Amino acid sequence: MALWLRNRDVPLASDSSTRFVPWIIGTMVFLSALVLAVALVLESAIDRWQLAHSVQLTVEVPPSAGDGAIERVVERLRALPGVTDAAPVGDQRIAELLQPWIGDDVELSSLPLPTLIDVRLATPGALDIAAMQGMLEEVQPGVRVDDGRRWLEPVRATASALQVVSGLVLVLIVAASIVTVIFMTRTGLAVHRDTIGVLHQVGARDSFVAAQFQRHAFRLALWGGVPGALLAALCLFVIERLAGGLDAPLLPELALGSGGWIAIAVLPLIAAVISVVTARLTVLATLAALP
Amino acid sequence: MGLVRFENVGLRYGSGPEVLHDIDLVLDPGSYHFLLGPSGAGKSSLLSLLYLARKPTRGMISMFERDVTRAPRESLPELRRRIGVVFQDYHLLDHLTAFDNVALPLRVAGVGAQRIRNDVMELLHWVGLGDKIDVEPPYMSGGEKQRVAVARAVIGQPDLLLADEPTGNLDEAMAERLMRLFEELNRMGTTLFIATHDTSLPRRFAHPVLRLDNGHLMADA
Repeated sequence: MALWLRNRDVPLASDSSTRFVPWIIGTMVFLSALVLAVALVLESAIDRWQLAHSVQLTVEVPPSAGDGAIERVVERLRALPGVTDAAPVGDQRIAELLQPWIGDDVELSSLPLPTLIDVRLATPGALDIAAMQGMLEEVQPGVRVDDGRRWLEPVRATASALQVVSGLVLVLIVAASIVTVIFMTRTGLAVHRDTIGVLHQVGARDSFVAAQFQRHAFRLALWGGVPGALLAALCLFVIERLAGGLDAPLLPELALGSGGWIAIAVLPLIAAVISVVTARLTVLATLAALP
Repeated sequence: MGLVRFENVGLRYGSGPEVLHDIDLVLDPGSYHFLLGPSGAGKSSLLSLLYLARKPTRGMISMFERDVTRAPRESLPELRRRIGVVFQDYHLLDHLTAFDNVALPLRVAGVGAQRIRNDVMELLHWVGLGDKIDVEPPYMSGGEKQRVAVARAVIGQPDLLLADEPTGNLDEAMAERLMRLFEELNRMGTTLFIATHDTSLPRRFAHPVLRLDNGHLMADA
């Protein structure tokens, strides 16, 4: 006879039709966590690539350039306002960069390789790259300024597109969850029509009835959402550990960071809030049609 | 101005024929009426209008000085809390104990836990169900369910008490006790409207009788 039984004035917990709901919500939270992780990793990668190409660029001096050309170009670069440093990339570093493609046995001096000059800028966008290119052409024809834009822009565009797709997938997951809760709530309203009729007859407001469905939706969402988020966290942790051993500098860092982990931890609560609000609005809208 | 006033009320279900025709009815505060009529005469339909489960197809119903035919839906719960109903088929919630069934009107009204406990226990003891407090309706006899239904109807001290065949499932002693309770409630100011096919009730308890026949309401001579 405990008064807390008000939670079960409408016996929703006994409905067999709602037992699948935690599984669906759990799956939705699991997928949401993975998609969110992808979006956050891409966001971090885009930021990193943006910063890198803004303060660092490379100048290529063709192998056909005459003696003293490299020194002249370096001297000109160092004289430019906004350039903090300019230095040719050493042979050892060039060998390291080319080693994956040509191996250890090739004598670099026998190859017609351009000389690379590593240029550091004081601030992102400190130089007009096109003007710089023209200026250096006057010092040494054939010199080429590479700020990474050629390869970075398509990569960033692809990453941004993937982010948009991730957002759309998240929207679809939320929409599917909402539809599930609407279906569950409408089924509950139909199954317990007589009970709700009694509650109304003794003076219950629609919000009293809605509260019963809200509590039920909250519980189901957490029952499904918490295991879904835990499973996703486990998967992401394993991926992060495996990716930590990769030697692939161009790949984005496959680590979430504390913000990402907090976001995943909060996902079950977000799922619960969405479920509660959906259940409430569904009940109130349905009951409003009654006399 | 009566507590309840029907003016030219008609009711039909969907596009079916009209089941109540031109009902004019006034229940003054503190009055006590019996409603007699054969099965299918429209007693339950008339009661459903009185406990605000539906609105009439035509006409005007005023209750507690409110035009309930035009009242917004949000205002109906407050009005329903002033009406107690004893249904022929009890309308108890099978998953709740006797205590929680009786406590329901107080709970939805936001009454405090201690008062609910005191009032419900007292009333359940009064109707002879002190030993059935934690029993759910499926494990009760028809008479016990009826007493739980009565207790639930009166727990909120309603201004208007409606009953549909309230003594139908009770033994003679309990029926007599129930009717005495109704008399007591009426003396305290509760308006009673009791639908029954038991013609002996109006003879034993001298109160005005209304007859419903084929959807038409008329006062007994």
